[in-house]
Amino acid sequence: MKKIPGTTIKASDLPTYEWNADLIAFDGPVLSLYKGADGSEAFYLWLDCNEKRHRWAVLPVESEAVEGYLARQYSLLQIVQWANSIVVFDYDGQKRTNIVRTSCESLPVEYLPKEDSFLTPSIATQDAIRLAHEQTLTYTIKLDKRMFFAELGRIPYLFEQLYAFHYGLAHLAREVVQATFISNVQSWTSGLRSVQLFHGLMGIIPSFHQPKVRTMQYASPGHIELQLLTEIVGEIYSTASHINTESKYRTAKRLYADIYTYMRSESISGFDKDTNYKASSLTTQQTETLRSFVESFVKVLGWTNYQNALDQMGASPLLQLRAILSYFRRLDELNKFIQSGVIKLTDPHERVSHADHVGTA
Amino acid sequence: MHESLEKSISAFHELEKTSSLARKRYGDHVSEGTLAPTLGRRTIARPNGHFDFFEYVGSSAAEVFSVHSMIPKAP
Repeated sequence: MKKIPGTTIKASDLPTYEWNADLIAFDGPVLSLYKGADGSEAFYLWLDCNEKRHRWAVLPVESEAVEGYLARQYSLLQIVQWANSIVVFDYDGQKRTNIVRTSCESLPVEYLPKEDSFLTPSIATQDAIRLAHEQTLTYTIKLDKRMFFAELGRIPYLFEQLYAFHYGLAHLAREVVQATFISNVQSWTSGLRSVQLFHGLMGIIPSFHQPKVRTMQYASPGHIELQLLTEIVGEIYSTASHINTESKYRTAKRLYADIYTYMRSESISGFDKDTNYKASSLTTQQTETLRSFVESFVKVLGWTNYQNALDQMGASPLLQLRAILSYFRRLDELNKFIQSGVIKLTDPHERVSHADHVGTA
Repeated sequence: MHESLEKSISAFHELEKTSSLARKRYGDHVSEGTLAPTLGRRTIARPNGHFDFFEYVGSSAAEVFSVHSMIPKAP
């Protein structure tokens, strides 16, 4: 393989990204989307190989570029040309070597994609097609009444966590989502883990599908206008609306309290406190009771599609319940803002006709 | 795997637009064969004709494939 001109860097100085999705794969990945802990994204592009190593390029990409590439508005060549700095490395299956920071101009011409290197359906993976086809819309959260500065932070925080949870359940077919869900839920040993679950799920949502502020205005009343996934905000809205009647809200709160009472009576805890109760320690009777609690809670929240998804997680009823109750605590807090009139979630279905398609790969 | 030779070659030409050195990684010939249900299970083909095939233990799909021809250069 040719020597690449550029600045040699150490493996420890390589930018850290986590695999998110393969966009092109042919008996192994050719082009993959990676995400950094700071929310940044990169494409890993296969360049070359010899008997021992494969050569890859790391191309930092902006959210709009990823979205445009998936929508076939931009070619891969454009993405490569836009990259300010490209890292090239060789990988033998164990370690990275010959790591060089370089530029598009320094790459051998045979490493560059062609001008018409678009993500066509004949090479796009299922994940790429799914990401490209998901519909987004402009969604309005109405604001009113007196609002404290802290609430201005708390409301988006809660909304984003609900969004991450629904995204996880709706995208369990994606390998990275399933792995994040399962690893966080199965290793759950304390209240801290629930935060990690929501944080972990938020971290794997591609940036162009994370809620983005389009406009914000507040002089009591006001509004926040967001760009986000139609399906996911639809789930938040329908769940919040479902429990927003007095009787259903009371039922949900009672069920929540009943579950806690049962947990205490059976000495099962580990929800909010730093106690660790292993699912494997449960008796058959306890497992059955917890399973019935899961089913009841799913029904109370008005979820019709999620029982299968929860079972697909491969988590025990105890772990499923932990995830649902954590979700409910966040929904309950957001619901208080709704009930007091500080925020109003608008119905996304009324605006579907204005939805924007992300793409048509 | 693809359902037809044409679809396989067409997908490879498309791949070469992204990776000019694809032939170095995958070779430059295409194989053809007939998969029998006794060999394993397959997924439903996508619109581009691509499907996955999972062999049963003890069977080898590779044995029913033979090299058909060199992959022609993209038009």
